[in-house]
Amino acid sequence: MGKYLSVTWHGIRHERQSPAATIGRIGFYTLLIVIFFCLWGTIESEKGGAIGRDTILWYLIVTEWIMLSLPQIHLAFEEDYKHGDVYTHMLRPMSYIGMRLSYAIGVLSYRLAMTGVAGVIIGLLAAGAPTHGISALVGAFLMGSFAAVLLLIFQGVLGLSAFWLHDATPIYWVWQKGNFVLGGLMVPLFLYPEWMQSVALFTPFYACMYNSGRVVLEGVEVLGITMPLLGVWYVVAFTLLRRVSRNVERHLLEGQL
Amino acid sequence: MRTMKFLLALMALNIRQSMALRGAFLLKMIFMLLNDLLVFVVWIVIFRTTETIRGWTLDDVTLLWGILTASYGISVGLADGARTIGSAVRSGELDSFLTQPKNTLLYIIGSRTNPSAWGDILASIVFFSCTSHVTLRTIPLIIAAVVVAATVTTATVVLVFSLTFWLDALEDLGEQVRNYLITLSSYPADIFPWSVRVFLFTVFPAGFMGTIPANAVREGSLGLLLFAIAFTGAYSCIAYRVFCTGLKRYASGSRISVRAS
Repeated sequence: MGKYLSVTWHGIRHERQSPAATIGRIGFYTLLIVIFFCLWGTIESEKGGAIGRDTILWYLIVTEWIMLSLPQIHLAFEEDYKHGDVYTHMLRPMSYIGMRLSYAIGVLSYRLAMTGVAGVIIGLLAAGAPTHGISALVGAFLMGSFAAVLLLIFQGVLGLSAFWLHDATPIYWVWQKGNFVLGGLMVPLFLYPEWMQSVALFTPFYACMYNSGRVVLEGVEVLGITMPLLGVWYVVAFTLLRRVSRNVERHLLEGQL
Repeated sequence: MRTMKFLLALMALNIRQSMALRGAFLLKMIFMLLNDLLVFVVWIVIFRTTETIRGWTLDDVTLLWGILTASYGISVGLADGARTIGSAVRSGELDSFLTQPKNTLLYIIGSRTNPSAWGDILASIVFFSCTSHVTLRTIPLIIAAVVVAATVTTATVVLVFSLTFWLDALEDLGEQVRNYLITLSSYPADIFPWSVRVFLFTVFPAGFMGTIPANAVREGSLGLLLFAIAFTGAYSCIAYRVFCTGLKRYASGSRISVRAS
């Protein structure tokens, strides 16, 4: 376990060494929040306050925070496969996939922290304190952190598809956009048609993105529903990861890839 | 004339190269199409909450997205090499372009294509077929609008990545700026306050990638289109001048590389 933690710490340190990338990410995050601030402000003024811009803004701060913090682990697997680096990594006394995931979790942790601070500052300046108070915000960030790790695991599974498909990027595009739409990244799911909400309910995007934003919309009490659902998806993700990992490692050892 | 022949030959080569791996090509094309259509679903949901946003209807936003995806597809499909200017400067790969008796900038930007561009172009066809703004009368306006938007997109990428001639670190910024542009141009500029709109139509010309061309078609305004064309011409000249000025500063990296095309 200690070796995976040290890889995680290495990920954090490596990310800290790229302040320009961090500033760029926070800049992009700020830009997106400004766009949505203007968009929902315009809609609110035209609909006569039917949809609260300030409330939705906090929701969007949480969902965009998760989305923008996720490292592109699928690219790491894809590059390792294409360049043959995977065989070099397999010489290490640790699981190759475990190593990659540990590193990505380190990167994710740093990004969540930096972007989270920016999100809180932007939210307080633009919309004031959340309707359900700071406890809802803390709950949302806690939920969002677990959700981000879960999404990372799923993205890792997607990235491993590169070992068969040679290119995981196209699948990642659809996965990412599925997250946008069915996770309610830009529009809360309660504004969707009911049939779409029903479809979204059976995807991990609902449990990760929407449920994290829901905490700031509905209060910290909703954690009693959202956390167990996230737990169920964790079981699914780990089962999938284990199965795919075994196939990848067996094929690598047998030289079938 | 010779430059035009060269460009056409380069495009044909790039297209053949991207289609060489049929499976990968089809995968990228289809998934990019799905990618674009999925994102647009969000706009459909937004317009369930309101019929108009500052005078823009879902039909208008569909037109905007048609123009955006078509222009982005053309830019990435024919001029994706613009994104490599920064890395070519840093790694010394520019040498292989300089040794050829061709226009360096055109050669670089036409040196690469992205198969996903075909997915964007297919998506634009879907968007255009779903909007009522496409009529026999507006088709020439739409074609001109797409060309304007594609040119502004490419010119911006060239301008930003050319800054690497002065500062290496700006290569990473180039990708960020590109992402900002794409994001900003996918929203009607009318939703923003005037201070932001001025920025979007001057320093950061995202407005000329989406809103202005779309407005020219919505309003059937030849005047607005001519204004957009004039801006595009001036902006492209600026981008070209910046690249040429930077090229004068370029010192060879002594890297040995071979270009097959």
